[in-house]
Amino acid sequence: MEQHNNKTERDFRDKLNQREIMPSAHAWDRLDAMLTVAEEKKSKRGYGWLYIAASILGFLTIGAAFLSQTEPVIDQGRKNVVFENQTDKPQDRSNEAITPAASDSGAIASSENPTKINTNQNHNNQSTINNQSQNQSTPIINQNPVEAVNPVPDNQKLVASTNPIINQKTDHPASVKVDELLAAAQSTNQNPKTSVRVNAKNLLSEVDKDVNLTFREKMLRRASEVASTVANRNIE
Amino acid sequence: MKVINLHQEEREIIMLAVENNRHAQQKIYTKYASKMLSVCRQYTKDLHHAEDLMITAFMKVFANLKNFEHKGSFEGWIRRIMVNECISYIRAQKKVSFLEDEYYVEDSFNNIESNLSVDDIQSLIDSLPDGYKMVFNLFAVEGYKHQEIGEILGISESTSKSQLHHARKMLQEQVLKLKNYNNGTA
Repeated sequence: MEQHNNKTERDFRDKLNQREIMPSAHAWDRLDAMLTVAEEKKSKRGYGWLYIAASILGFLTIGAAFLSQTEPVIDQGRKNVVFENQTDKPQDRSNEAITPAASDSGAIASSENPTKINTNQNHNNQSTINNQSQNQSTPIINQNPVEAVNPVPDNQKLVASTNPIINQKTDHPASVKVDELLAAAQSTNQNPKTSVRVNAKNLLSEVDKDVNLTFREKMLRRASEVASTVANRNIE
Repeated sequence: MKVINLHQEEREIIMLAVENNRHAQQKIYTKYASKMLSVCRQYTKDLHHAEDLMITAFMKVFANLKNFEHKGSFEGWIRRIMVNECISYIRAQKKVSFLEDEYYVEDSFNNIESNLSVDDIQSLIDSLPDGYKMVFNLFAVEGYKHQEIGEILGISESTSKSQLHHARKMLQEQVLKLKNYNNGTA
């Protein structure tokens, strides 16, 4: 500090430093309120970081949950595609199975009347079973690759398995295997999918229609079929 | 012993005030508010305005109380905050300009026999322009050097000296006028 030799300045300083001015009564209240607000702001700042962290965590968990949900959806789409192929195959195969022998359409259609099937197919069944009995080591499924791949549309075979005549005629030891195979076929026959009744004429007419349909109509039809298949599967 | 006890008591109050103890803060306020309002009044003509500045400065005192190192005078520390608050406010509001006047004379008040009251002194200081007032208050009342004043106000040392020279000259004229007025010769 510089020397204040000047008497007047020293007098000024002493008098001003000794002076006291009482503040107004509400000055402390104002200061108190301001201090309270400042403390609240400080505390809010502390909690603010917590809120931000919590919201970030929330978003992350929601995002993780969303991603985990979307993956199965994609898989379902793939499954649908698989089902589409699976559902198409029986139709195609049924078509293939039907088209070569149009006379079988009556047999397939007669699945609605099981008694007729038995009577009509007795000879065929007997012949096939005899062949099986001759080739004991080779199972029946290997004789017809289409049937081996897809056991579901084997209505004829399944119907034949219910024929008691076969069991009565075949006392051969191979009949045990045949019985097992028939039992397996019955177990597969219990699957509700196989209970779907197919009308060959309708299928043929649909195939004819498909030829005449445009690509867009085909795709729409295919999509509706897939949807109905998925719906049926879900119901089952 | 009494001084030591008082110092310890003040230290304890300060420590409590650091922890936002409102009772301790009120004690500090009650003890220094009147003196600090006087300091703020030196820089502003309006008493209400001075009170606002004092409250704002007390907010800064309590906010920065943890930085007080108990090395110097606590009152001096608070006073410094008050002065800084007043100067920064005046400079922000009024945009005080300091003329770079290199002309000054190392002078001092002529030893005028002044029996002026503190209110008269305050009215004389109030009559000064803001630039002169700040430099005069900082130099003559607060005891800062010109170098320190230059750092506080952001001016050169010579500008501070010239501002003080003009302030003194103006005050001297005002004191003489007041003296003559009181003597009835005006």
